[in-house]
Amino acid sequence: MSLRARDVSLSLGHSEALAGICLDVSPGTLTAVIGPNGAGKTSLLRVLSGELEPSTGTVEIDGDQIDALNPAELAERRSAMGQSTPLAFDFLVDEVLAMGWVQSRCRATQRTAMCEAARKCDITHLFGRPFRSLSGGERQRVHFARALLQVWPHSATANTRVGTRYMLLDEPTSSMDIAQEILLLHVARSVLAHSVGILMVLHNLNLAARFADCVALIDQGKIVAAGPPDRVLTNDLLSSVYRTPVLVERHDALGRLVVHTH
Amino acid sequence: MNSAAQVLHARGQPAWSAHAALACAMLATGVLALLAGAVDISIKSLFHDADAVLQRMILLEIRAPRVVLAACTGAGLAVAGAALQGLFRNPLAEPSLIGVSSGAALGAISVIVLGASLPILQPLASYSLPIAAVAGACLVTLFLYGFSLRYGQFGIVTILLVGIAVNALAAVGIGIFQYLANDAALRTLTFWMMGSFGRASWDTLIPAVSLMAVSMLPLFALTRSLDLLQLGESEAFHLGIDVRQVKRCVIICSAATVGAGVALAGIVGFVGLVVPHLIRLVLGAGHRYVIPASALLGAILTMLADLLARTLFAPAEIPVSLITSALGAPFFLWLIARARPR
Repeated sequence: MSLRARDVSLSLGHSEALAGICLDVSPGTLTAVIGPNGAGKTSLLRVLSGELEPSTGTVEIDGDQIDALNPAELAERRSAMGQSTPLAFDFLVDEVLAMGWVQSRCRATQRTAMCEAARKCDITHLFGRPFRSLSGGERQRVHFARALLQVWPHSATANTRVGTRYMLLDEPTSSMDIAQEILLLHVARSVLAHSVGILMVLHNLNLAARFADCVALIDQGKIVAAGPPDRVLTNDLLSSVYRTPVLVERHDALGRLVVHTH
Repeated sequence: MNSAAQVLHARGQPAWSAHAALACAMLATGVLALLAGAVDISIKSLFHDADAVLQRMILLEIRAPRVVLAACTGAGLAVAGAALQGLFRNPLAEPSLIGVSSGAALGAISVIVLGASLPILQPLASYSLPIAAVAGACLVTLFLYGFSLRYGQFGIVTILLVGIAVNALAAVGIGIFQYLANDAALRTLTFWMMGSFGRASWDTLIPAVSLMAVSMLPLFALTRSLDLLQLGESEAFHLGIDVRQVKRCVIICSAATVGAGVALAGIVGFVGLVVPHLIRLVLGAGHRYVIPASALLGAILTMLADLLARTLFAPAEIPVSLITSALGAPFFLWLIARARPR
């Protein structure tokens, strides 16, 4: 059971965006994808979500080939949050959140789940406001809540959802302040227990060090290193990939790795 | 229930009463449009008077098809406008502004002019006219969509510039056909450019209205897809929408709706712009409200515009597009002033 890329390559135009990627996202784990700008992180997410078809190699979701599933079937098994496009019309925050509901048509179940997801992501007070009036960080919180709602676990009474789900998040915290970043990562970790696997593109290496079970370091379309944070986040690897001196140290009081640039 | 749940619960309640009110208003407008006109008809006289035969004939053979055509065309244009705005994610996408109506008119005109020289087409005119108009509308919409894919998302104003070009090209085609046309065809052509519901008769109405109904219905079923498309095509795909299929369906259905309307009524401007906007202001942006409410308000607006067109200077008639444009153009300017990116 996992979301698995097997030897995936992707050509966009003349350039090779991804080359020979092998990656496993298991339910109950949070994988952080890190790497410099243009390394292929977003392309990897788009291939894993089924939006782009790899030139070679395959993507499987719990053993099923992803291109054999139709969009509706895929939507029940994984959610994705991209770098969002602005809305052309004045949808309200709760209407945008409701777009993430892909499950049963029961209105009461939907309302309960929406309220719960909104409470978790601290967007309840935004209900009823036009989405376009929100700040960038607030919009990201709403989109994250929408992606969360899409993989929402059913309550035990309703017909329980079987199977695992995955969330693919592309820089979900890029416009957030530090407190909101931490909140989002805590919420993300809290849903892992409901057999959800998360893959998240992150630029903040300290967040990756603190919250990820597994870190995949990507450069020029290839995975340079993948594994637990303390194996991947090393001075040598990061310095060579980011082409700038990076210092990683263990912070004893915090009990985790801290990443600095020189 | 906490306050968030109450917000969610209250959502949708006002929409149903608004729909009911619109439906009642549409029926009332329809009755008014049937009874008022150059010859006033009173319900009582239909049954008792000596002129009842004449009045009944005016009502059934002249006024009823005209009112039905006005209502269907208005509903179709408003729904197509709402759907195209959703598809292009652009509040200014309106069938006549972006050239879809001109494409339909060009198709229809080619049949009128060529039909005059090819007698074979004549008996089939009530079918070939709408079909040619639909083909013209589809062609333009597909071109617009292809263009927008190739050259990136249309900005809010770019689509109008492309529309100017498409309208200009269609005008060239229409000009050529005008040059080729004989006198009888020329008279018919003039009416396309202005728009009128005056030529409605049951014979021509039934094929076009059935086509409109068939092509409008799928748009009512695509409201959730149109909502999700607002997040962008990739997000819509992630949420389970078969984006290519939805786009194809919206393009063909809205083009067919516009085309069938244009085939009978000519170009009626701005209905597809004004109506969905008013609805969005009142009921919000969700397409599950915008599409059905636009159909109702569109029907009301065109029936009223037609009523004005034939009563203002009765017994003379003015083109209905003069009325809709007089309403729509200032509204359009206001929208442009408001549509600056935020």
